[in-house]
Amino acid sequence: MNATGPRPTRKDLLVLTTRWVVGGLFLYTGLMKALHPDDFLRLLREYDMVRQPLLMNGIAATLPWFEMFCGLLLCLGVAVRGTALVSVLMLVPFTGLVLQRALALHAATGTPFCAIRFDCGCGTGEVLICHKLFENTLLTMAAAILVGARSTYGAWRHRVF
Amino acid sequence: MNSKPAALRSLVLEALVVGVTGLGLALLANQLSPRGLMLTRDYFGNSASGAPTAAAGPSPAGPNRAVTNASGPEPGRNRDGIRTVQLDEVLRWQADPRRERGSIVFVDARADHAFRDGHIPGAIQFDAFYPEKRLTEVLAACSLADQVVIYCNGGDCTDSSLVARLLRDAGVPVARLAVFVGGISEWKTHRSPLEVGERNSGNLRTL
Repeated sequence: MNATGPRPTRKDLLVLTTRWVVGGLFLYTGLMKALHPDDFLRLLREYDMVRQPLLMNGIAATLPWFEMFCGLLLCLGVAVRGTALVSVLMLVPFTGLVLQRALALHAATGTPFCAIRFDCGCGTGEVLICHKLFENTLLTMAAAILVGARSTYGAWRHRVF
Repeated sequence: MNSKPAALRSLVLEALVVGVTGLGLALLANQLSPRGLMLTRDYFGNSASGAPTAAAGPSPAGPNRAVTNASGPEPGRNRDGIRTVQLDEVLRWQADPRRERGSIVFVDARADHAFRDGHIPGAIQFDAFYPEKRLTEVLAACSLADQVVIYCNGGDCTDSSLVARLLRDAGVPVARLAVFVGGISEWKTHRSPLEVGERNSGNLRTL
């Protein structure tokens, strides 16, 4: 860690905070799913994106732990940009799926879009869809910032290569 | 300082390393976790004739609305030919003195934590994802019963159908099995009492 180096700039602190917030959220939501992978599998199935048991089980079994792994790397500051890129690549399609499902529910039930709530399998239980989409957009933007950020302040090993 | 293509290459390479390492560790963690999933198991019986009703996509019904069996082979039966019942019948069975004698058995097909949070009084928990945990107990109870009522959350949930299929395959006659389609959601909506904690804990509450 180089936290004992030169005095951190405001940008350094912003990147560090972003890293901890995104990493912390990943750790928490990953843990919630990893504790009940069967619940996560049930929810995943409702998205109807894959039907092959091996693929569906594989996603439900690995995603929570993978999320925790990314969260840990971000919190520790290891391979930060690569991890952030992986995070963006996870968040974008997942947010798209949540949106797609919400739109389907909206079309089917006529419920106002922002009044739709369901358990999206995000690890935080039942949520209002607009809140979730807003949260995911912020999270994706934060991860994208980390992809571009060069600050190594407080990072254990910012780059692997 | 790295040139742009080189920096991009190292970023992508780093992401790949993170991805592959993370995936490997995630698979290992799933193997080691006591609640880990079996990758090759067909938890929903998709290949069976009784494809779950929710398989066609997200149900607009939501958790508080009962799934009807319009797409099933026969009204009042699910795709496995197991009888489906509504709340009024379930309430009658719940109040029936035969339930106390074990002639009517309720089976809760949800996960442990959901069961502990509140279940139909006297129900036995039988998580279809971990059938080995309680199969003996459930089969013993079902063998003495004239009527076995299985439920899960209601609405989108298909765990009750899955459990019904498991019990049928384990030898419980189909005629004794019934799936409560409204599930615990409809039970709660009706403000019927819930038993909290373990089976027969006596800790009843109403929402």
